[in-house]
Amino acid sequence: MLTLKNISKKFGDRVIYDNFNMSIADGETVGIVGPSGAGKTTLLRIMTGLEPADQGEILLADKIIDPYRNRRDAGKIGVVFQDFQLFPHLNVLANVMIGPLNALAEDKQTTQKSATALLTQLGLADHLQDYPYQLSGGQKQRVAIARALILQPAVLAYDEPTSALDPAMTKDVAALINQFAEQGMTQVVVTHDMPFIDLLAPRVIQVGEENTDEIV
Amino acid sequence: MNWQYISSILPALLAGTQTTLVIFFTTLVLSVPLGIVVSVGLRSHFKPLAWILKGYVWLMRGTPLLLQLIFIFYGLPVIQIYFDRMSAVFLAFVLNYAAYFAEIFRGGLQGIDQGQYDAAKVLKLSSWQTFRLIILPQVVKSVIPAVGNEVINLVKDSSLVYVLGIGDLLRAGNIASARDVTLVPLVLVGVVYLLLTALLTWGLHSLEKHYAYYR
Ligand SMILES: Nc1ncnc2c1ncn2[C@@H]1O[C@H](COP(=O)(O)OP(=O)(O)OP(=O)(O)O)[C@@H](O)[C@H]1O
Ligand SMILES: [Mg+2]
Repeated sequence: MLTLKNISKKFGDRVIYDNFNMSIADGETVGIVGPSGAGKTTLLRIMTGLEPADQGEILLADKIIDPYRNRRDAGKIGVVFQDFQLFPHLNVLANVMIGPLNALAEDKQTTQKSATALLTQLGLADHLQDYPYQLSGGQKQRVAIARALILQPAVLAYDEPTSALDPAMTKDVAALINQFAEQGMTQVVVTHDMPFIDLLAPRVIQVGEENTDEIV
Repeated sequence: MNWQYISSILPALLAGTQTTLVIFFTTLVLSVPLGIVVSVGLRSHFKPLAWILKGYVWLMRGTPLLLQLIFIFYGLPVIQIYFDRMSAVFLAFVLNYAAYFAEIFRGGLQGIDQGQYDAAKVLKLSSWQTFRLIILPQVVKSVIPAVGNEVINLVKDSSLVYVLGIGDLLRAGNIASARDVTLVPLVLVGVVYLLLTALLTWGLHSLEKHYAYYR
């Protein structure tokens, strides 16, 4: 279970979160929705350690984690970024292998095997040697998913997974996320795309304006 | 052109070329890494460090290399700091070129999306791994043209050591020209510089091509 407890966050005078609480059960897929500027990305960045909270705790399996300051906790929640952030100078395989190879110091053969298997499952077997610029948006996204999954995160978080894709691809991503959900993965989907949320039909957490416009 | 004359001054010119190349390569090998280190320091959140380095870059880029050479070799002895000729040359050239490279690399670092650092962090890479495996390779690609310009400049700037009486290529040509009252040695010096810069230009093009495998 992933729990955010009493999270507060300000940017300057602007209160984004004030004692915010949420919880995600193991195997659950949760949607985080809200208007633009509400703080959805900020929430994702706090739980993944890319942004410090001013206050509050993050608990994973009832243990406090500090992914912002502690590298051992970073990566426990995987991220698929809105713009994917693949490494342009590495090919698809290398993008996926770089985490386990360097952070976990796994040996190259094992890593290559699992990366290839993962990419094959995601339909990218023919693109292992391609560079990111040679891929479509949907393909890039699946590389980003593989890159996160190979580290076996407890939770996988997506920021606006439909925003960089053409509309026809929305169904494909939804199908993939639903498939992961069936497999028991714990997922957080940040989006303001309501038709997309309907395809996932998850529990929805609303991040509202009440968090956003107060001035302290 | 008299081939016999040319072959008689060639040994002196080659010896001068060797000195020029020693200055060139030593400066390059020391100033590029130093420039990278300084560029990272320029972006440091520890303000005093960033300010000191900014001051250093400003000083080095804002005054002539020739002045820096003269200052170190002829000026500093006034306050009892002595360098032999070559040490003065290496000190001035490395400090000067590192400042230029630092500015170039700082620009390159600035061009890297913050998201690349974020992606590296959630992949559990250390800051050193992130720099070495993700950031630096992309910076290197983006700075090749600017670094290339400086490298070509360095070949030509190396002739400034003339003022310290060091026997580089230019000095060798000048001595022969004055002694034998002929332009031939100076023309040959020009040809050697052209060959060196042509070789470097070719090398830089190959490097650019090598990095063209991604966008
Ligand atoms: N690093 C930052 N510094 C200052 N303000 C920030 C920073 N990051 C975000 N903000 C502000 O915090 C608010 C929430 O931003 P956030 O990106 O979390 O919104 P969002 O819900 O993801 O919006 P969108 O749907 O447009 O992606 C915005 O007003 C934004 O301008
Ligand atoms: Mg957002």
